[in-house]
Amino acid sequence: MFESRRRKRRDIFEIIREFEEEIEREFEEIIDRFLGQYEAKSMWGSDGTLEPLIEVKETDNKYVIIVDLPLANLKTLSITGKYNTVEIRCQLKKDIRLDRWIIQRQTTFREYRKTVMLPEDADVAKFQVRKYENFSIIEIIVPKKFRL
Amino acid sequence: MEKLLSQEPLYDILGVIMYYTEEYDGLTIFETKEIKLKTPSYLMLGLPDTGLVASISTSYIVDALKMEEVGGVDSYRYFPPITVIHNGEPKPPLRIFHKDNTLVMISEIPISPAAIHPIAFLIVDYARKKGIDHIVSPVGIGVPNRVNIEKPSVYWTSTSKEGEEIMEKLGIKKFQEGFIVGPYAIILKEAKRKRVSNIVLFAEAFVEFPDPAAAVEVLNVLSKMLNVQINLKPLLEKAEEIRLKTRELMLSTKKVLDRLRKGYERQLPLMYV
Repeated sequence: MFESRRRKRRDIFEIIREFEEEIEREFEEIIDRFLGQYEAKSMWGSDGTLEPLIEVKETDNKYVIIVDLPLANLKTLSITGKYNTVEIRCQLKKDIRLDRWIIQRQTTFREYRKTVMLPEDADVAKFQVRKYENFSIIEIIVPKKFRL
Repeated sequence: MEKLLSQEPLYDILGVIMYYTEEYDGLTIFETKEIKLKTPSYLMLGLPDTGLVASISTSYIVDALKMEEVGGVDSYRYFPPITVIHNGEPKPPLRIFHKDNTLVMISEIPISPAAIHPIAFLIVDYARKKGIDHIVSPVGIGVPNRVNIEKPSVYWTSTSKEGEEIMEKLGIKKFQEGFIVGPYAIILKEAKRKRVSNIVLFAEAFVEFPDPAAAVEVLNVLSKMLNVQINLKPLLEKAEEIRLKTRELMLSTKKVLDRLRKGYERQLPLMYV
């Protein structure tokens, strides 16, 4: 009985989340129709950190965070799971400077840093990492908490 | 549809010579240099798409063959209000380059859904007017198990017999079943409708990350098609740096692709059942 009630509550939250996502999508489409453009975002921090590209996939029993870390030294990879967030840090193999780009001409980029927030049912303390060294890509597999 | 065609060189407000300018449904295409195309002529497209395969491969061709910038496409209606500055000079977001028998169009920004149809129509119309023999679209086709593929495969399709003959000689497999979504899909349909030859090269690629290795495979095919030597070693050496430097373009392209329901490309078409 408890399980069905919990499932029902979860389902309602999922419906609300999907509804919110749909509204957000519709809103973006309206903006796009009028302005014909998308919000651009910088992934270069003035503190010398870079934001990596990530992709989060969900299956029945886990979340998989795929992180693209080109030029990273994967030996320095550090991943911390706390509450429902996963923090990824990794040093670059070499310093990057872009002197012709005046916005960041005095910055030396040395590290990737990214915090990924997962839903409440992610058991971030039990994450596992799979490395694809030839691509400098990692997969962080986070199981979902066991439901009673 | 509003059009302005000019045969004689015109001057724009800054005194730059315009050899050709045309307005097309909110887009303006212009040539700032006289273009004499040798035959067979190709128009190669570098519009951001899956894995940025087209963007990376065409930018590399422009650099490797030292192609000359000869024009561009701009739009106050469809493009964000930006000017790209390269080597101290303002440029339009979509630029045209030329050398011998090849034109290359490269976009610095993803093509928003509202702009896809007018740009596709403009490209096919422009190719027809320039007497281009083949429009070449290098397309990334997202494969979910890309991390397990060392050497991405390249497939092709064509709207013309001549295009088919070229590709069959190169010994590459034909793309048999599947969906394409995005600007290249509309260009393909429009080219077929207007009887313009469009050769589409599909390279297996990452869906969400830039994929220079897929671009290398496309460039291998393009160098044979154009019959030119392209040294790919620098691209292989700089692959990781390119991935790092194209993160933002990939992110904004991915947002557009998601909006276009790019997931269709991983579905099986009905006729195959």
